[in-house]
Amino acid sequence: MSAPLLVGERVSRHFGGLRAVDNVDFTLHDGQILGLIGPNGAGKTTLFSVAAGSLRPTSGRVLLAGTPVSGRSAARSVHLGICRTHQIVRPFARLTVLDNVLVGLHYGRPPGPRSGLLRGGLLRRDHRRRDPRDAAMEILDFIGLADRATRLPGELTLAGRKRLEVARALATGPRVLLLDEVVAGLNPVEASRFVDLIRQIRDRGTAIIMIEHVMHAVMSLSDHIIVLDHGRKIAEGTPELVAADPLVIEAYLGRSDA
Amino acid sequence: MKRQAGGFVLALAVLWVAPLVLPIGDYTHNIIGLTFMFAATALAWNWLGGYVGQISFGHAAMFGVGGFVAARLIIAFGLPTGVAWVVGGLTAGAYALVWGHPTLRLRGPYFSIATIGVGEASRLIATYWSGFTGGSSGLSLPLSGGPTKYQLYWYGLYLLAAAVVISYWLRTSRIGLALLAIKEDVEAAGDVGVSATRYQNLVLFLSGTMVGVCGGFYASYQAFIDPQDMFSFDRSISLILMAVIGGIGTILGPVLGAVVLVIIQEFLLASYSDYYLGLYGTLLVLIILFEPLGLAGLLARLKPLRSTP
Repeated sequence: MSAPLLVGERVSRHFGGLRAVDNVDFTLHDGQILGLIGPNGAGKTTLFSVAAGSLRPTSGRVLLAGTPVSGRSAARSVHLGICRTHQIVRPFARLTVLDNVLVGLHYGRPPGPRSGLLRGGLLRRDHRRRDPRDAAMEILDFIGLADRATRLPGELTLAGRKRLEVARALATGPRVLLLDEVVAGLNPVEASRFVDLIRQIRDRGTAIIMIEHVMHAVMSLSDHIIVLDHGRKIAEGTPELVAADPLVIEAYLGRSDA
Repeated sequence: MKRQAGGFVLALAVLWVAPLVLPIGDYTHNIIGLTFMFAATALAWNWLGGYVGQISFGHAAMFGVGGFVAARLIIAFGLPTGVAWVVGGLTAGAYALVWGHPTLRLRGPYFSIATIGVGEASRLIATYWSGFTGGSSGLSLPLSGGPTKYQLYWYGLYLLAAAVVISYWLRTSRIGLALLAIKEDVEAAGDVGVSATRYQNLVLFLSGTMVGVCGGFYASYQAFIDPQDMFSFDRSISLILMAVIGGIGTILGPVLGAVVLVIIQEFLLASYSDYYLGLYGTLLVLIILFEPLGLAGLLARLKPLRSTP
């Protein structure tokens, strides 16, 4: 296999005495979907926050193609090519759907030498790239929100807002996309559409780590699955292997002879 | 957008020519000049308070720093007035960054409380640093050499024009999008690559510099400044009042707010000096209750065809 794209090395994050994430290793390869599952409170979202740079790890680190992405700022991680979505969607409520995507498009890439004031407006004609609105519309088209471009996020359905959350993240041009429960809460039709969408994103060359409680989604999409419980990795492997693991069954359902 | 720019240039031209052709008394002429300056400070406050959503109760600190640095430069080196203002303004901008960089990571009421502390600490330091500020006896500027009060009208107009142009740029450029995102949800903004630190610092620096230049203008206008007045908490509050009464986050709003505030101060204060604080308060409560976008919001409501500025 090729060199791994994203590597977590003994990542830990403690909150006081609580070990939310405890010594977790993980590896994500190009073109892969890594599933992250576990009961509520297992530390999945905390691990995302560490990988996305918004939470400092207590110890350990996360490397994207060899460069550390953990422990600095979220914005810097995005510039390096790793972007997350939120379980509870956080659109910019007073910006249109299109403007939401434009924020990601404008600010998701590392600032070049002509950054700051010049790039910000004084020299707005950017000869290297085409009109960012076209690029944003293309993303909305792909995600299935093109006809809602001028609406406000509040006018979308939950599925629509989740699509917007993904569209905004995609606009930053990530090499690794972290999806936090994007399928949860959707009706079966919307959910299966979303599963197709995630597969297409992967096929377009973005590696994905997904947290998901909807088992059929995570089992059908993931190449590899990691199971967390109480902050520790209790199992990993292919979906079939993990689903049959007694430790995993115990974490979800409890022990039968207790 | 073209119509707005046209209206702006037309308004500038009218205001530029008006005193030359209309029979305006000296007193009114001077007060209008001062109003331009107040409008510029309100706009500058609004960059941080309205565009980024960080409500500062300490902007008098930059007004004072700008004013005293400019005054000192004029007194000690006889620097040309405009140059002294700009240096004073840049010093104020740098001063804003010194306290702003660590405090801007706070949001909402926490940031506001920090700025109250900054404003009061600055006032006390300035009062006791009598070697620089003249302490409680203040500083007098030389009466000759600089522009006269009559000429300051046009300087004030240029300040206002600059503040409007910067407001418009901050609103409509890419940076405006980042500021909106930060105002909406600072963490989500970070998660799509917007560095809140960078853009908040930039806005605070611009805001502090503009307010500092206005402090320099005020020093030249009054020809006498003292720390208790320049750095007063009332001054910080008056910036907020102008922006909120006029319409926070808009461009027209702070300008209207400045006009209202000056009218209240200059014309009503003279006759009803006991009531003016009550009047401010009443106005503020009415605005917040019925039209959070202030006078600008009211205008927009009256003229549904005009898009909000």
